[in-house]
Amino acid sequence: MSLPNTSRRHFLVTAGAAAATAGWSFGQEPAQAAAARYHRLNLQNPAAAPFLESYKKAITIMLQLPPSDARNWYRNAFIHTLDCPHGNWWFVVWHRGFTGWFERTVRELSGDANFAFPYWDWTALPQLPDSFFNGVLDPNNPAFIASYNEFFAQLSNPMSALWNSFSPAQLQQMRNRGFRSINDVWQAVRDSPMFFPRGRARTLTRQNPGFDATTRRAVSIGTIRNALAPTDFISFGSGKTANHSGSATQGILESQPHNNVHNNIGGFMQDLLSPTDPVFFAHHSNIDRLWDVWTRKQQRLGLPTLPTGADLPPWANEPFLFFMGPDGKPVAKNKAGDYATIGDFNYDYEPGSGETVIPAATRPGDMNNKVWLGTLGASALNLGASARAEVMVPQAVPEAAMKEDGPAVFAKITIEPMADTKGVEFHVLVNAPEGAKQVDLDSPSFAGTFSTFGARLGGHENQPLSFLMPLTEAVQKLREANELKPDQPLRVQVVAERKGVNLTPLEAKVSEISVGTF
Amino acid sequence: MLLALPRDRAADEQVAVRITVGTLAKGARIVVKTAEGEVVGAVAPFGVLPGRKAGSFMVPVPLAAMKDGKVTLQLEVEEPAQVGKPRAPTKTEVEAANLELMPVSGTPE
Repeated sequence: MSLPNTSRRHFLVTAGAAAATAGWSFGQEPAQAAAARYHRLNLQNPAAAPFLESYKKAITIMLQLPPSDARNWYRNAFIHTLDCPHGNWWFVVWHRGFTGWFERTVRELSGDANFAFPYWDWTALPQLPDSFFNGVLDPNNPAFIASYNEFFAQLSNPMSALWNSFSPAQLQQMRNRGFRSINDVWQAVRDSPMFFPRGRARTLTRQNPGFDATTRRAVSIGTIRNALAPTDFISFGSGKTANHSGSATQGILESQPHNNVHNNIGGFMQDLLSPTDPVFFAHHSNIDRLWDVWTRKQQRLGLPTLPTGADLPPWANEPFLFFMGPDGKPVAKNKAGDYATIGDFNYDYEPGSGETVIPAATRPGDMNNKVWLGTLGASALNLGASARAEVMVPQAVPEAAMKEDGPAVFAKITIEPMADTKGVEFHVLVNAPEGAKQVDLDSPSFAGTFSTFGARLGGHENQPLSFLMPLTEAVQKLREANELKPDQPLRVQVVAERKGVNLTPLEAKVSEISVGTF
Repeated sequence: MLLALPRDRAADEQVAVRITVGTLAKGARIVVKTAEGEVVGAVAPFGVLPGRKAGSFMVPVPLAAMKDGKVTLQLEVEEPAQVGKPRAPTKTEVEAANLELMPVSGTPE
C-alpha cells in the first residue's frame, strides 16, 4: 500500500460524472424522502378510511372503462400477468414500480389529491381486513366480471390489439416468459386457472377471514425479523437471474409472507391475475414497506442497500417495459434502477411491524476501527472521467469526528495496476457540489491528493495499489457547512491528473472506495 | 429428514433450509415442521410460469431447533383436495432440501 503524498494544487473537476451510468449511481440513497408528500397508512388506522373510499371510487371507474383503455381494471391486472418477476432479485423493485404507478392512477381517477395506498400489516392483523369485503373492494362484487367466458369476450380483442402493438423489446420480454403469442397468454389464464368466477373470487370470506395456522406463522413477527435480517440485497430480496422472468431462490420475504398470504386468500390472489383483487395493492404496499424498513436498517448499519459492484449495472438496467401512467400511456421510466428508491413516488409509511429491527444510532465511542464499503457508480479514471462511489456511513461518524478524541476518518482507494503512473496525481473529493467543474483547494469537499513514488519492483507491477486518504478534516468542514445530510451517503470522488507532457493515455480503474475510522 | 449445516455457524449467521421444488399441484403447499411438530414455515409456490418448475424457497429454521449443527425437519404436502390428509412429498415435488447459513444483522433467532 502506497503512502499518500499529499499536495494541494488547483485542479479541475471534470464533468466526467457523466461516466457514471445515469440512474444507477444512486447506490445508497435513503428510501424515504426527507418530507414525503404522500403517506401510506396502516389500514387499521381510522385515518386510512377516506383513502379506502377514494380507492373504491377509482375501482368503480376502472371497472367501467372500456378494455381498450389501459386503465381498465383488468388491463391493469394484465400488466402483472405479462411482466411480474417472482423468485428473482427484481421482485421488490418491480412491484414498487407497479404499485407506485397504479397509486398515481387511483389518485387521478378518484380525484383525491392526497391518495396513497393503505398497507395491510398482516403481522398485526393476520386476517383479511373486513373493509375488503365492502363494495368493490371485494372481487365477488357484481361490478366485477362474473365468468371466464365473459372475461374472454371483453378482453380478447383489446389484448390482441395490445399484443400487436408491442415493440421488439417487449416481445422479447414475452418470449422470456414463454409467451410466443397472445394465445399462449390466454392458454395460461384459462388453464392455470387465473380467472375465478363470481362467488369464488376468494377463498377467505367475511365469516372466515382468518389465516390458517401455517400462514399465521409465515406472517409472524419472528418470520418477519428473519426476513429483514439478511445483510445483502440478494439474500433479502431473492436470487439473481438473467432476466426478470427467471426463477432463482426466493428469499424469506417472498417465500414466506408474500406467497403464503397470496395463496391463503385464494381465488384471483393465488395466481398472476392477482391484481384483480383490490387487496393485492394493500398486500404489496406492506411488502414494499418491509423493503423500506430493510433499506433503512441497512443504512443505519452502513451496509449496502442494493446489489453491489458488478451486480449493480445488470440489476439496474433490467427493462420494465409495461408500466402505464395515470394517462393510460406507457411511462418513460422503464428500467429497474428507476425504482430502486421511492423517489418521485414521494411517499412514506406509517411505522408498522418490523420497524424495531432498525437499530438506534450508535454512540461515538462505537465508531472506531470500522470500514464501510462504497457502491461504485463509476470506476474508470481518465482525463475525461472520475471514479466515484457512495458510501453509507452512520450519522454518528461525522458527529464523532467533530470531537477532539473522536475517530480519524479515512478513505481507502484501490486502483488496478496501471501501465504508467509517472506524473499521475489522484485528487480526492467528498460531497463535491453536483455538476461542479472546478473545486478550489480550500473547498470543504477537497480531501487531498495522493500519487505514487518510485518504480514498482519485486513483482509488484501487476498488483493493485491502495491508498489511505485522511478525510477527517473534510468531514469536519462539510459538517460545519451543513453539507452532510442525515441518512445520505458520502459521495467520494477520485479525479486523476497527469503532470508534464506524456504521450501515454491516462487510463486507470478504481476497484474499491471505502471509508473507515481508526 | 435429518439435515446438517455445511460448516460451523458463526455468531452473526442465521439458519434457513433451501427447499427446491419441482412440480407441485396448484394450490398445494409444503409445510415445514420440526421433529416436535412445530411449523417453521411453508413453501407455497406463487406465480409459476407455464411449463416451469416451482423453484427454490428459503424457510427460516429456528436456532432452538438445531443441535450440534443438525436438525430434523418434517415436510408435509397439503393439497386443497385432500384437506386434513397431509402426506410426504414425492421426489418430483421436493428435489432437494439443504441447510444454509446467512449473515444477518441483529441477533439470529
